[in-house]
Amino acid sequence: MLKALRTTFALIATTAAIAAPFGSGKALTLLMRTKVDILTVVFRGPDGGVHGAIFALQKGQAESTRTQLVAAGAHISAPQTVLKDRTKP
Amino acid sequence: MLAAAAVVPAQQPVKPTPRFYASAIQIELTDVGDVSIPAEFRYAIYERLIEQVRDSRLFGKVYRSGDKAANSVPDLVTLHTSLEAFDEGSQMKRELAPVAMGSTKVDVTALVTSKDGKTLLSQKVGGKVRIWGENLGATNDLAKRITKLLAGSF
Repeated sequence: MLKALRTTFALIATTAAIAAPFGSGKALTLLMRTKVDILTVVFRGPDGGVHGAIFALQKGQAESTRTQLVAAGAHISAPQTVLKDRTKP
Repeated sequence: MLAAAAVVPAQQPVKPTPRFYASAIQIELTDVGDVSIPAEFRYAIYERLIEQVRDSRLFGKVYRSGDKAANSVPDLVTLHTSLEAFDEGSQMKRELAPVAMGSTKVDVTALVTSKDGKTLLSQKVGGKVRIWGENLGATNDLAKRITKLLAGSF
């Protein structure tokens, strides 16, 4: 549901940016840009196959989510400093 | 008429691309080597590849890296990808100056081997996002190109 809303909003925003006069669409897309945290989770399925899941979380949520995962037994492969600001994936 | 026919050069027979058959393929994780690449790109390449190859229906079964069930398939082929170059680019720069700057590029060598270790296919493939789209879109482009490459040989 959230993903569908995001996709709809992104589509409206892109259309508005293209339709904006005198090249102002470029500025519009910069203003509408949302920062997100990216969290990559790797796990093995019951058959041993490797799965990768990439989460785009609200800014600042990746660290707490990672801490929760580690508390639940997950392993960390990258140091905290690797977390960096990203825009949409 | 005869003279005209005489000057037409004889067409060289086109060498057909060798075609292979395999009922299943196992897709390995991208070997990044010394190239620096964010984890999300590495796993996005892997997941997109699995998705694209499954959708293509070229193989009866697509196995993930490490799947134990793949060991029992006699004609299994394995797709290895090793990262050659990566440029993350910038979506913001792309939108400000399309094509000129900010392109995201990911180049890999795709290698398909048979169960006995014989190399069936080896080719460099690249994925990119030049104008619109998120940086991770380059991994989707790459997966599509690798699937197209597989479709030409299987």
